[in-house]
Amino acid sequence: MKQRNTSFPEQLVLLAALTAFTGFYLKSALDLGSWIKYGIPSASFLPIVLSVLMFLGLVAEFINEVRRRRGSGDHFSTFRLSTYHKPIGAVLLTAGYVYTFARLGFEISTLLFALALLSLFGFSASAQNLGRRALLTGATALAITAFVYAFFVLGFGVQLPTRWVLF
Amino acid sequence: MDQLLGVIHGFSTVLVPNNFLFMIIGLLTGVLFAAVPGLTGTLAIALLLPITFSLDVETSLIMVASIFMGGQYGGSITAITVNIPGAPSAVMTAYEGNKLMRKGKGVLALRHAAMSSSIGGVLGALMLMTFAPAVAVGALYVQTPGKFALILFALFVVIASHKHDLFKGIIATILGLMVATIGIDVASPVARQTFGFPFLIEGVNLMAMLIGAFAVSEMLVQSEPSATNAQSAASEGQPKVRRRDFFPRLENFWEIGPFNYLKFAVLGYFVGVLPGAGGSSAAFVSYAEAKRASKKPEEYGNGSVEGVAAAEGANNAMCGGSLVPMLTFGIPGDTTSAVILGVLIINGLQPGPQMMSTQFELVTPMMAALLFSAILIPVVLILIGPYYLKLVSINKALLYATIAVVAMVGAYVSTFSTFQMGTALTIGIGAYLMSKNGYPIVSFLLGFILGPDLEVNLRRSLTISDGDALIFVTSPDSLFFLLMIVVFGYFLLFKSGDPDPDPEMEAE
Repeated sequence: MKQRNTSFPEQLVLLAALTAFTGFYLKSALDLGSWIKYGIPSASFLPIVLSVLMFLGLVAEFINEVRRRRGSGDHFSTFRLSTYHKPIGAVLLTAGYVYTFARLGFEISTLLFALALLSLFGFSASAQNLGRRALLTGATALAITAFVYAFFVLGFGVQLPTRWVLF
Repeated sequence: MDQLLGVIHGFSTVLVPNNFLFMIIGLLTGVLFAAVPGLTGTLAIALLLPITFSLDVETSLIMVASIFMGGQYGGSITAITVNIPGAPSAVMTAYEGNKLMRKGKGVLALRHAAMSSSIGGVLGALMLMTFAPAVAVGALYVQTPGKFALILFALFVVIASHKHDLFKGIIATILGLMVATIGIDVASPVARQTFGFPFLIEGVNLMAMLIGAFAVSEMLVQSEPSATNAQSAASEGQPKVRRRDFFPRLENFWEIGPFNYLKFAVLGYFVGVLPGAGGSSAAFVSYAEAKRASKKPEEYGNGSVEGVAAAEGANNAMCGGSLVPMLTFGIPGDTTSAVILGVLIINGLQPGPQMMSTQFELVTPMMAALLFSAILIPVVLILIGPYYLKLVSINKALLYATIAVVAMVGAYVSTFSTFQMGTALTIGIGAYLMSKNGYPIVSFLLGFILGPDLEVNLRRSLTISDGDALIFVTSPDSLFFLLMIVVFGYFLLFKSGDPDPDPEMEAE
């Protein structure tokens, strides 16, 4: 897995998101009631302890990050939103796949998902014309769908939400 | 003498052609399942459970034992080749092995993984046959506070190993622990941390977590416009590979050394003996110890064959260890041995103290199958290694589109719920953002995996002592592991010389 140097705003956004999550998490833990019942730790005990430790860790990391950036003279200029266009596209496609998986069935949803992902990743971008590219991408998406079906359903007898039997 | 005769019977039973064939089928099934993200050896045994009805008890046990061994090894293949651990126990292997892959040393990493898995598996099986009854009694001395301290020790080591960015390591570990608390409380029937969403009562499934943290986040990384095709880059750096390159080599054996192999196996075996510890803990404890004692600590985090050998040797030796409490006390050491326990019960066997004395001959074929399967691991690599290595030269779009589909369907298969597909996606987005910002995903994952056991043992300990936390220093086993934290803390944080390079930062 890759790690790259990210800008200060990106670090801050993540710290803010983690702080917000910890806030909701702590509230949810406090809603469970007392953390000690009859002298014994209850279900909220560990979540409350973890929330407090997390807040301390986030404050320490924030201070650490400010010091580090100040020391290296890093500014806000390195942030590029365009970096996230394709990842956001991949997330939306995957979310769509999750939504349609049971509704459309494995075959249709997987074919569409594979087709969309191959296009996003630029599959057969070097093909000479649009028709040939579309044909190659479609055939590959079909092959991926058939492979996954054969592997899970035929190979190991796993039940998938299917609308039609492919083989 | 009876024990020796029982062991001889076990070997002769496995060598019956029919049984040997089922052992091979089991081994290949275990490797194949573990090498595919979303599938595990446990799932393979569970899916093949109906088949065991039509087989003899001994044949069934031989097959499940070989799936178990194959499943522990198989996770290392995709961990090294495409940085996606097929099984939780291969997380540390991915951490080191894939960096070797990207340096053009993929075959070397695969060879070390196979050799170490084989040696670890053989030693674990031999220790199972020899020490099973005595070790089971010894493991009983590690009581609840000791188990809590052991898990705390494991978490401490994972945080300390990221000393270049300690706070990020702490945050990632705590976040993993927090996610692990979502769902039904581990000690009472209370739904908690669901944030008002009823579907969160189901909790976060481990397979969804693994698929999200590795497969989905890797897909997102690869979708970035600026992303260099890491796999293709690795492929360009790979020398031309022939099948004979996968043959085990003596020089690789001496590179790690017999003492180290023995140490990894013993650590893996004894971690496996502790109920609930499993392959992940075995691999990590062994990895941490190998790093501490290494003559080349600078290689760790940058592609260390020793790190790969430590993790793989221990997780395969764990197979033998985890069967000890299961066979002797009916307490499974990990999820796979829990499923094997089901196979035993289905076949009318009752694991417990009596089993090792009165029905020893029924379980020795299973022990022998573990040993034979471990011996055959390098052969499996020779057979399938060249094909797996070619994964890196596949067109990037084709590879990641296929991985995305297999991973998402794998997440569905883990509980047959689209909720877990959504969970994998959510975890994947989180892991992608975390790794981009330097938060160690390994810490997050280990926090999640070890969290439930940590909480159960913490709360049980405090219940036993009426809320008195002093139980952790008055129990000798707990005190031992707490002192280990101090010793490891001293060596990892203050004595290991220069700050280590960022283990997740790639050499571009």
